[in-house]
Amino acid sequence: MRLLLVEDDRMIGAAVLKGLRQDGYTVDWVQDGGAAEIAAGNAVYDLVLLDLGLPKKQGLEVLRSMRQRGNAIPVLILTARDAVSDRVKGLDAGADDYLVKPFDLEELGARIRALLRRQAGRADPVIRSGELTLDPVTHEVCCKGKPIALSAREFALLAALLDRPGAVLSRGQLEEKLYGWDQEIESNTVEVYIHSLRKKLGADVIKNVRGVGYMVPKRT
Amino acid sequence: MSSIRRTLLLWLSAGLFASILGAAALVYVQAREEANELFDYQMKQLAASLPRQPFAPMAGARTEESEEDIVIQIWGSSGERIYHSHEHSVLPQRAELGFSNVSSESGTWRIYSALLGDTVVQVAQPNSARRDLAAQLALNTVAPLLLLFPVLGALLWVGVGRGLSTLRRVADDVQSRDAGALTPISEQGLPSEIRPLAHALNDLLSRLGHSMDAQRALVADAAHELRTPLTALKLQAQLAERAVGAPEREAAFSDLKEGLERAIHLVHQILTLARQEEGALGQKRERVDLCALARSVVADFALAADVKAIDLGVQAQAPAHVSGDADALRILLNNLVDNALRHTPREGRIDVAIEAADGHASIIVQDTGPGIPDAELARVFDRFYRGTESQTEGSGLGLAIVKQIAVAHGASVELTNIGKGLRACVIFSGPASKAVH
Repeated sequence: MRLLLVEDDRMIGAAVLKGLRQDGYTVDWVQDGGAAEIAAGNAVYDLVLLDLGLPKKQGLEVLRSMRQRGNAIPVLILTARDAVSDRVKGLDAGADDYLVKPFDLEELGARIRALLRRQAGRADPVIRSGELTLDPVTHEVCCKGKPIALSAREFALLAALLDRPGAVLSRGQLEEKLYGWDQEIESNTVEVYIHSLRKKLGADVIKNVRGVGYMVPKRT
Repeated sequence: MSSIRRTLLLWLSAGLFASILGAAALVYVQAREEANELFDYQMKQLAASLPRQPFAPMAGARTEESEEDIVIQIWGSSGERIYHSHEHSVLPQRAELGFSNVSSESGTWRIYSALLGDTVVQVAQPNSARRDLAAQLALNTVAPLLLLFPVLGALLWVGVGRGLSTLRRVADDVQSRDAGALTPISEQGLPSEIRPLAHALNDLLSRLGHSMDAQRALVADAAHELRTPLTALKLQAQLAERAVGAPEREAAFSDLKEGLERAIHLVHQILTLARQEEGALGQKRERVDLCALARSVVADFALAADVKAIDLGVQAQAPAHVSGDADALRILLNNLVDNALRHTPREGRIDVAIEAADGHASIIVQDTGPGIPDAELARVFDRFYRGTESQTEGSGLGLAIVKQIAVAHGASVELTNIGKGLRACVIFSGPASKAVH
């Protein structure tokens, strides 16, 4: 899961970035409205965390122009403006959720998960596919009821594939989910992680669509 | 407690009493004059009515003192007393003709002497009789006026009460308010004597309202602005909690400390701003040597400048003194130098200068930072305003504080972009400044 963090305050931005990365998300951080608009135009993000008081371009303007251009990715507003009218304005401008500063990292994580879940059209907080379950909260993956230990990258890759069962994700798309701007992409890593996941979960869990990419088949 | 009613009553009673006394005195004097004329005429008539032939000497006069207060004596041509109405005559043996006053043991007497044929007739009357009459007259005239006292008192009581009832209304109006209700008191229908009071009260209420609004706005702004450093602190604390292993924990705590420093700085600046709020400067005025102040502030920042390899120094040092609050002026210069340090890149240069021209002392801080976009120059003095280009993390209060202190000292602050850098100039003017050459 790749998130875009828009926050002008250096300390808050750094802390949120660190916390979300610990949660296994890939996060890119921009510090002003202009950069936010450009970055959000990129279709790689699963969710945008948006501060309202931004240099160059206000957060609400960024949000409105995103929605006008048909960008439907979930937006969670993070702001110090706590008045009801501000919240209403934010939500009506197209935000999906509104979190008032000072917020809690745990709550932020839970709200992000909720938004991603809704975006994927799921109600169950635990992602299930056949006999495979993935708990985004505890980062626990079980196969046939047995817990399976995964590395952070393996988990992120599996979560990305399980998020849209039946959809084929290309290597490039998977790389985008795994690496932020500031992280260098190692070559062949996606293949390495897929290989290792198949070894741990069984070869039929992730299918290779030759010349296109990878997918987790839809199972009930 | 002084009472308008009582004071009015006292003064008016005293005035009335004095007037009555004066009137009585006047009536008395006039009555006496009238009595004199009347009695003199009477004495003249009396003398004229006496027989014009010589009296035979009389064996004796009436011995009993009569109620009659007129004394008559008649003298013969040879100087012998022919007649006297009273035994113990007080009249002098000889007297000039016409009216005269004679004093004796029994008071002063009015005497009329007239020549009737060859006899001299003397008619005398004690002056006290005339005085008594005049006094009686005066008293009779004035006595009814004393009735005025109760009437006046009652009228005054009611009148003043009615006049002051509007004051009571104002008092009720003020009393029924809570601390937040600062709407002006209605001045309609107030007597002109009370209107200035209501007006002054309204003026005070309005100033109080402004001051309260400013404080409220500051508190609201401050609470809002505190969210940012507090949010950072909360997140940093949570990260520190999550940290695994010594190096990670150390890094988290270092971030946390940085966040704390920032929160402390902001709180400190808010406090400074609140202290420097209008009127807080008070009477704390002393002679401040600007050059000494500049040297001292620059010395304080020497270490911080060194860390960023910035060349910080005092340039021109025109001897200049201003009258003001030394602590506040130090805060002002501290903020200017601190701002310059924050925005000047490494290996830059910051000059502090004290100039004195045309009797105006000025403090100048010039840096080699990025300056401030011209469009924002006016707004940077607003509380919590941070430049859109600003990359550093200030409280957004530094220049607001500078402005406030400058205004309290009758000084103006000018920011200008000069080539590469910003020039901040605080110019003292008016009676608050005095440059000594």
